[in-house]
Amino acid sequence: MKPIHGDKLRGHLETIILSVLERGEAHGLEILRRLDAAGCGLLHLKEGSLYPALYRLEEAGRIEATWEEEPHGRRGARRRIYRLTAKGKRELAKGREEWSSFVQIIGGILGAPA
Amino acid sequence: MNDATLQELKTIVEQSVWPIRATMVRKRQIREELLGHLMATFEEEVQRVGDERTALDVTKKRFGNRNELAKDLQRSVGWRDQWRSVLESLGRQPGESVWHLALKHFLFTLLIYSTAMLVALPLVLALLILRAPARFDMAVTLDGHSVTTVLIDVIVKLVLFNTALSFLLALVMNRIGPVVVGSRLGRISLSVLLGLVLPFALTGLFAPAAIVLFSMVRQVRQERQHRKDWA
Repeated sequence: MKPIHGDKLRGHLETIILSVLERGEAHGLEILRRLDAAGCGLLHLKEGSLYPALYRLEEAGRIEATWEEEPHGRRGARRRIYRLTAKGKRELAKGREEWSSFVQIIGGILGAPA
Repeated sequence: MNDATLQELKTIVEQSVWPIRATMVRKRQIREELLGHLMATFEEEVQRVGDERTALDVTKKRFGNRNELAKDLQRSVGWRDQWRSVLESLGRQPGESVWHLALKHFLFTLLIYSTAMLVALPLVLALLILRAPARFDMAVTLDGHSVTTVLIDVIVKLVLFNTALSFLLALVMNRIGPVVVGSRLGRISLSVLLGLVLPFALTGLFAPAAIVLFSMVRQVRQERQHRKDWA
């Protein structure tokens, strides 16, 4: 299979993050690791672009974050731990429904049903 | 990780965060989080490739384009934070002298108040004419002056008073601000003062000076919070 790059993920990234956080709270790098594992190494996302998406989700109240207590061995830089909110869970369910309908419609048009 | 590498990682972060229009607190949080991410990525890559130079190059590549990230980060900053950053820009900036700050507040108040009054004057005159068109006459005198002259006189005095007030507040607050906000009694006194000013601010009489006072109190509180966070 061919790798999927950032541009193709645009528009889906926020729902993808919500689904990753459904498996439990995580910091940015851990979210990327989970994404990499789930995508079998075929999701090629520029790591910096994860953070604006996280901030947008936080601003919208779909996730919440807390700073970790200790800098985790790195000089002064702490990590933020993100977790899903009730609103985020609702949005994730909605995102899944939208994705199913999108795949069904476009798959039908392309003659390649899911 | 040596200091040169750390400095290079900080530069990457700064190139992405510096152009953003957001409050200082927000930018600090973004900086810390991105730096933490880059440091962890770098450590991961050093373990994998074993060479610091290569690890740094891979870290940069994995992180992505800084200009695009800065634009994306700007889009993620909410309108409340952007508005607060405007208020914050009225506060004292690093390296700014108190006199420069006071002059900035003076000019800000002059601009806001003059604009507000230029809008208010025709409205007040129109209201007077509408309420008593028969009695209203531009030539009608109050104590030997026309109504328009009296109004302009009041407005000019208000503008001058407010600009002078914001100038003095900038000077005084930057001297005593941290002390006042630093104690419980000081905070209570300040709240009472703000409470007293608020009704006048709402009527528009001392609004610019109140905005300046509010922005300074906010800045002092943010600085205290920042010191607490990084202690």
